[in-house]
Amino acid sequence: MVNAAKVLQDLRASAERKPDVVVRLGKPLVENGAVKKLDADAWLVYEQVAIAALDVGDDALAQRCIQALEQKFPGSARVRRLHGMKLEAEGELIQAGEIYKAILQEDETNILAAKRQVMLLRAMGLPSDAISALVKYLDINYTDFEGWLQLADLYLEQLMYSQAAFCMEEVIMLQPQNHIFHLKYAEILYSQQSIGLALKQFCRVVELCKDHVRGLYGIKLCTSHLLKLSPSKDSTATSQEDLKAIDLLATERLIATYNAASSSTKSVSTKWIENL
Amino acid sequence: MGAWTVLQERQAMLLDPAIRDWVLLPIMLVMVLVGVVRHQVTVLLNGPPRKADLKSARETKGLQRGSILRAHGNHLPEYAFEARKAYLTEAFEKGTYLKDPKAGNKPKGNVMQDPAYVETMMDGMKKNMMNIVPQTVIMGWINFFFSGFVLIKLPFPLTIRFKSMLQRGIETQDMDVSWVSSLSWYFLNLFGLQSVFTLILGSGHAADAMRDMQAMSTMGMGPAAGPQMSPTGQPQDMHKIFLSEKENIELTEHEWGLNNVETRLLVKYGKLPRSILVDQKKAKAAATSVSGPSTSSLSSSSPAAVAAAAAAAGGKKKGRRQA
Amino acid sequence: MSGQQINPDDALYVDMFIAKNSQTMTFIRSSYSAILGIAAGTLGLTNWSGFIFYFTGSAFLSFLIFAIKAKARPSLYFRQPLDVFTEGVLGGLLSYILFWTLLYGIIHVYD
Repeated sequence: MVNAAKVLQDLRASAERKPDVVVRLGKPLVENGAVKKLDADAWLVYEQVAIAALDVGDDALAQRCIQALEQKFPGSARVRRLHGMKLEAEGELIQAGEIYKAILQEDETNILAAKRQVMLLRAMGLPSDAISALVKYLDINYTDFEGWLQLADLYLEQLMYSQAAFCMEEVIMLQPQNHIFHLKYAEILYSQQSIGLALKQFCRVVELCKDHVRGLYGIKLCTSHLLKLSPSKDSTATSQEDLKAIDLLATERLIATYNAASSSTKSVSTKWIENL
Repeated sequence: MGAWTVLQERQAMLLDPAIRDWVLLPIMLVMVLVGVVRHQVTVLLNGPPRKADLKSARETKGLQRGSILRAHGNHLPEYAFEARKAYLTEAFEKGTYLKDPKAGNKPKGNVMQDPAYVETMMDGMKKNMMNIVPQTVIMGWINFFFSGFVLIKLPFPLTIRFKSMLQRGIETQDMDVSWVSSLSWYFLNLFGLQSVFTLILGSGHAADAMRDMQAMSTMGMGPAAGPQMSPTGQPQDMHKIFLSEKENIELTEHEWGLNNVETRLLVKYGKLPRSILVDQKKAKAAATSVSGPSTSSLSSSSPAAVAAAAAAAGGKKKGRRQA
Repeated sequence: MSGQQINPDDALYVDMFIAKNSQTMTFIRSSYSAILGIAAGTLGLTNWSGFIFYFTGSAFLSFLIFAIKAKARPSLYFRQPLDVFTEGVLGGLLSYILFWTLLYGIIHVYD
């Protein structure tokens, strides 16, 4: 029992989305009432399990958790948001929208409700409305990098690459140490055909996270593309010498990643990488 | 010389253990308890977190945009940085993020009527009261009950100048400065118990004397959610702050961190020697100092180009001398 | 006046972890300083020997943390590798003096 609580606590701290783990560990806790022994943490666990249950599709479990929370905190905006999420899961999108609107009318700074509203619009198939709602939200809450990330995704769905790149730039400024965001930015740049810039970003990814395979592949693609073009006169572009050196490095590291594989895989992958 | 030697002799005095039981330990105990109680009372007084005002939050976050751009802008390519720089300087100038764009300079008479400002002032005052009152009360208590006798000997010597401060109430001439009164024991506890409180109450406890001293000098700094107050308690002119932030941004130059990322990557994997980076830095510094008015700094990254640039810089110098 | 030079390794430090490490260091040092103070008072150390005792003990603790906890690579855990040795020493000194005075008084000054 103690271990389950610790795992749930760690998941809350790291904000990872692992609904199957949470439900597997949390369901017995909720069903046999052991969760109450956790005192203050019990309510956090209820909330966590409720959201995970909705993810997994276990509506009954979610309902139990929400009811317990409602008993303890009647009228709380946080609980009402959970209720809205459950309605969303059941497909009652209009009703969920009403709940969020009511919460926001009472307290216009309620972040949870604002965010759910944006995602609701997306679920209802109104991407442009979702985008404008999210832009309005981010105008106020500039430092919410998850919001910027979500906006980038919304733009990418609409194939609006330059706007998505703008969002990723904001995310990078807010979280410069995270190589995943640099990676996403690099891939957007590549899709926009700014190959030179994309190459530099991919290099940054590998610099932040040594031997990052996706970054190395990105480097390979960029260098093979750039080497086919005539040398650019632009002084900010990578020189031919550097291009060749980086290309060699990427090839070498990529082949090294398949070192542990069987020999047939190794030879196939080596051949393919070298021909990239 | 002789008087000095007399003072240096270890003055062996023995004190009544009753002093220890009824003064030394009680003072320490009282201070610990008061600190804990003060922490709990502050938590109670603060009550539920205040509802944040949308416009105020937007104002503070808007200001943060500037500082974040300055701090991390070097991760972005030049065009991205310049675009944001231009947008923010214009926005700060126009006051797009201000809570009340038409406020201008509010006449001071209206301050008391604005409920948000009153709340912030009350908060600041509450905090100060919670810090000052216990200190004053305990000091008064000690001075009233425990003055006029020696309490304890400090294990280390001090200069004569401390004598008047530490032995207040005991007017002797020859006693070692190390023998101190109850008040100095109070001060010793005040500073020494800081870390003990951090141990018991966790960080951010309300009994932090360092924060007291800061609070006494800068009154009324409310949490970020409320409207900002300047140290003198006047409502701050956000417009001026935005303008100064705008100037900071204008002054910030963009130094793209990814200029030589390929070289750095090659060095990291050991394909190139680390000295290349040092050479590049030197060449860049030389190039920018020689090329003077032409603002574009040398951004080429390959070693060959760097060597060529260094040669060119040398050639330029030669040309000047010859001409 | 110009923008900061981007130090490629700077972005590798996560603020939250640095703060947590700093907190842990302060915690260890304050508890340790209190105990050192009690020891010094009991032993009856005075004047310089008392301060030398503190700084030696503090250096010993730093060395232990450096070797065992930081695994001899403090740059992994702190922005400046020397922080392992200097973080929280002065705060610890104040509690050391308090407990040193207290125990010294109780044992050596009173009857």
